[in-house]
Amino acid sequence: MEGTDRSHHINDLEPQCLTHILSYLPASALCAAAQVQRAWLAPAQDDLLWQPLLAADWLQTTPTMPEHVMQHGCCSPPHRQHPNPTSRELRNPPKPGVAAGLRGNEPQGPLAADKAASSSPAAEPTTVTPSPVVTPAGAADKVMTSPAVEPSASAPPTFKQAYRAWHQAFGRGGGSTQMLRRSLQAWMRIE
Amino acid sequence: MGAIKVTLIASDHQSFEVDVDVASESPIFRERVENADPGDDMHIPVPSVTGDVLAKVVEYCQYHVAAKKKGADDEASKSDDDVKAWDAQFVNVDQNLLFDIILAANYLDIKSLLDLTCQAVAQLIKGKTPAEICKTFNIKNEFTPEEEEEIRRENQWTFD
Repeated sequence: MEGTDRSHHINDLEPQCLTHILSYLPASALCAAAQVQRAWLAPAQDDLLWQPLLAADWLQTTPTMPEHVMQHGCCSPPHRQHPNPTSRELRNPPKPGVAAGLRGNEPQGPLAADKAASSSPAAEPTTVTPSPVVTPAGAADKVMTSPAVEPSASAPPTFKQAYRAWHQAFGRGGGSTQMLRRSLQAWMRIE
Repeated sequence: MGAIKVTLIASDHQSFEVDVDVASESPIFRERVENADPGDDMHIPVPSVTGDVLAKVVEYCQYHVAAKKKGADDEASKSDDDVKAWDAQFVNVDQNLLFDIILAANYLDIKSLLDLTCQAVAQLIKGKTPAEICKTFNIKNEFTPEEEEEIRRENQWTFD
C-alpha cells in the first residue's frame, strides 16, 4: 500500500498494549518475555499480570482466598479492571525483620513443609488450623519464606515472587495447602 | 435509523462508507455521530490510520455487527464457531499489519478487536525461548552479559 510509515515494530505499541498482549500469557512465557529486552522486563514482571496467575492457581488448590489476592479477579486480563498499576500499593509496607527472614522460632515453613510432605504428609505441624485466614501478626512474622524468592530488605515482595514460592512448594509433590497459604498470607502482608 | 451512513476517511484519503451501527463499534465514532447536528455530512476523518488498516478495521466491525444480528434479514445467523473461525482468519496477517491494527484498535477503543489482535501476538510469543522471541519480532537484546545472566537466573524456574 502507499502508506508511508508501514513498518511498525512490536516496540512501537503503547506500553499498555504490550501489557495487554502479555496478559494472555502463562507464567512460563512471561518468564521468557522478561528476558527478551530491557523494555519488556518491567511489563513482564508486573504485579497486574502475576496477581491473576497466582489467584487462579490459588483457587485451584484452595477453596478460599484472601481478598487481596482476588483484587484483580483471576480470569480476565487485569488491566481492563484496574488501569492504574497500583496493586503493589494496596499491600502494607513490609515490616522490618520479615524481609530479613526471621527463622528458628517456628519449625515449619514452606520449605520445611515441602520436605516434610515429600516424606510423610502426616508430619505436618500442629499449628495448622481449619481457618487460617486470620493469622496473628506475631506469628506471621515468624513464617519463613523460601530463600530463593526472599524479598529484599527494601522492596515488598512481588506477586511474581509469591507465585514462584507457591509453585516451588506445590511443584514438588505438594506441601501442606494450609501451611503454604498461611505463609503466603504472612509473606504478602495479608492479614 | 438503520439506513444512516457514515463516511470514514483514512490518513491517505481513502474513504469508507459504512452503516452507522458499524461505525458505532468504536466509541470514538459513536460519540461523533451522536454529537452531530442534523444535516451534518457525517464525514469522520481518521488521520492516524492508513487506508489499508482502516479497511481491516471496517471489515472486522462489519462482520461482527452482522454476526450479532441473529437471523435478521435474509442471512443465516452465525454460530460462535463461525465467528471464531472468521476471527482466526482475520488475524492471519503479517506482523506489521497486525501491529497496525492493534494501534488502530487501541486508538479507536474497539475492545474486542484489541483483545483479538493482542491475543494473536501472544500466540506468537507462547512456547518460545527468549532468543526465539527476539528473532520472531526482530528485537535486539541489549542486555549486558552480566545482566542477561542475572535475569536468566531469576526467570529460570520450571513449571509443571
